[in-house]
Amino acid sequence: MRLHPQDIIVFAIVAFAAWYLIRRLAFSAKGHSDGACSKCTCEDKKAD
Amino acid sequence: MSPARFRVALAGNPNVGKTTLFNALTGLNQRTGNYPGVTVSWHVGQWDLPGGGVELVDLPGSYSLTALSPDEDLVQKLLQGLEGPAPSALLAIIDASNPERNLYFLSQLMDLGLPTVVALNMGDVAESKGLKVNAQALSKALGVPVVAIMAHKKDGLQALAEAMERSVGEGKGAKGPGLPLNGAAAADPAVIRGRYEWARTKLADVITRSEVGVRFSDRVDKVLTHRVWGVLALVLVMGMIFQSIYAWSQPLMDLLEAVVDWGGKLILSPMPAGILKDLLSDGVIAGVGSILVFVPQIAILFFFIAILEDCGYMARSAFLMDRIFAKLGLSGRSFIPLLSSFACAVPGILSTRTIADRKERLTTMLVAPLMSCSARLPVYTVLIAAFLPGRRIFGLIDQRALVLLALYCLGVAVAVPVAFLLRKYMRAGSAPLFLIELPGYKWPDAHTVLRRVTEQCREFVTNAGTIILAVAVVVWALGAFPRPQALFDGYQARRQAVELQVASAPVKAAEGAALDRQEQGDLMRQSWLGRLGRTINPLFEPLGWDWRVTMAALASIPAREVVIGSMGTIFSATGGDGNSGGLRQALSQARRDDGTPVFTIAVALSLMVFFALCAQCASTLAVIRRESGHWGWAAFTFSYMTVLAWGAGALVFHAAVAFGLG
Repeated sequence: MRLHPQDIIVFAIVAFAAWYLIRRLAFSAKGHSDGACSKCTCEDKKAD
Repeated sequence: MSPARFRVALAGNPNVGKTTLFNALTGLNQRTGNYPGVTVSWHVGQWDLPGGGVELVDLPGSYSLTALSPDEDLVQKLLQGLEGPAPSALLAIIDASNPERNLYFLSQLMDLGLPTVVALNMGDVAESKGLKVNAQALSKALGVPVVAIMAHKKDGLQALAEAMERSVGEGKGAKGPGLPLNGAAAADPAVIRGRYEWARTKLADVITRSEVGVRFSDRVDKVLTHRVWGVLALVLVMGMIFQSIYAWSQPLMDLLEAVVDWGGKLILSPMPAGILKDLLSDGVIAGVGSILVFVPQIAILFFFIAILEDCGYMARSAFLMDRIFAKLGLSGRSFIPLLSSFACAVPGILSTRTIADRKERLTTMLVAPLMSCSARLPVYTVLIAAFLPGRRIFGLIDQRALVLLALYCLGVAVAVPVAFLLRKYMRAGSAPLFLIELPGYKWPDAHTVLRRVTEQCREFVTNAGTIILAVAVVVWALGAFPRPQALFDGYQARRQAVELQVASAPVKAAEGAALDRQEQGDLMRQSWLGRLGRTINPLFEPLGWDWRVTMAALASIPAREVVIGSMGTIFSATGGDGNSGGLRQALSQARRDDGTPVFTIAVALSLMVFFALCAQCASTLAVIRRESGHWGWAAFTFSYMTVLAWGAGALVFHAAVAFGLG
């Protein structure tokens, strides 16, 4: 199968979105309220 | 910015204007509110004194240094240098309308022996109560500089900075009554009496009192804190807010829909057909565009919340609810965190730090996510708008506003028995005594209201551009792959057949469009999303959900509002144009494999009830884990809320079907 340049761009965008989601959820798992939204308290910012 | 020379702690009783003063001195924008307990953590900013910048620390409000609640414990630790560097000086702020109680805490602060400057705030409120505090005489009595200020008008700030510079330069520590500050001795009734005696002595020649009639605040409070009229007024206020959300937001939402639609066409029309165009139209524009149109509703909701917070009504509603909450073992102290949770559960859970009783705090924390936060609003409104007619009851009240109000009440109604059971399980005793100082009514400050609205809208848009966008892209990819060539070849052959066999151009176009929709439907059914959805769906069939609804709901575990973006992506890929008007249309036109509608009123109700009670918010679970100190409580919250949401969703679905709404 031949890869079209569009396929590569789409693959990169999807991979980035998936990486971003995993990173944010992992951040939540550490107990930071900024894991999935921007309501970061001062303590979170210090901890980061 | 030059490094700060030393640290100054800003301390005082709750709701005396500390954060307003902090913002005025540092130019920062920390949240303020006209009720106790808004600040529960500490903030640092730079305060420019005549001799250079210093670090100013805004502490949570506290009535004493004898820590009872977690926020008071934090004040004690910060002042004693157990949490970060110890301050070199104190800026104590006192409320001129309640000097005696404020001086009780000041006596403890002065016993720390640090250079201290006193900011005498709220002179205008004091005067309305017939009180006048002479700042110069108070300064002489206390032996420390006292500066009269009006924090909200930024009056007296220069004099305050000069006084602090002089005070630190002289290095003279304040002298309080010299009573014990720590341990059991500090809480001894004789010591407490001694401090109040000291306060009365210091105030003896400082205050002049004049007679005032029955104040406006007292007259209004007779109604708003009445056990019947007060509750009625609360329901009326909330009803008016929801009515306004519908009445005012629609023109702005229509405008935003048009902008999203126009922007989408501008981006997509020059692009050649292909997978990248599909990603942009069905993933990005449908996902993010469908949620962005809700910004006006969020703005209206927070406009009213900010007004209620700033005018002093929130404290009244906490007082009102104390009577009801006490019967369940909770106090009105729990009501303020629960009220904050109507905006967002994260700050609501953080504000449970004002609750001294550990079991009451934990119970409040675990039921706070049941309150309908702003993230649920788009879910409710899109489903209500798509499936409920906008009839008016008595020609006045919009039926949709009533349903919205009922959904908000559902969270409270469920929280009540859950809190009762949790208290029983924890073997907690009766509700602790709740004391709250009712702040005076005031006109809401336009700047504070505007700041709250813009903050929340910014946050909503940020979420749409980050987490919702990421989920929409991933959901699109799961729904678009794999792409079997045989499926495309089959549809290509059918298109060619239509081309050859149909002569009429409009019929040809209609059949072509139908084939496009069929192709998208088949593509999604055999995709990873389709396979996963159909595998999981039996679990959600009792709620009447189609596999696409199930997948949209499951994709929203990071944040509830994501479900709108996911539905935008999933349903626009199988028809519709992605924006909210298009989404509403796509939802009402969506069909199951057997041709029956995906959404009926029964399904819409079960989905709304599920979202009213579920725990789809990673931030909330993270903050419960942090505040309770244990993952177990976060896992418990997620589990009980999911079971509750599923059960209530199934119950509502079957009840609605029984009433012929299925």
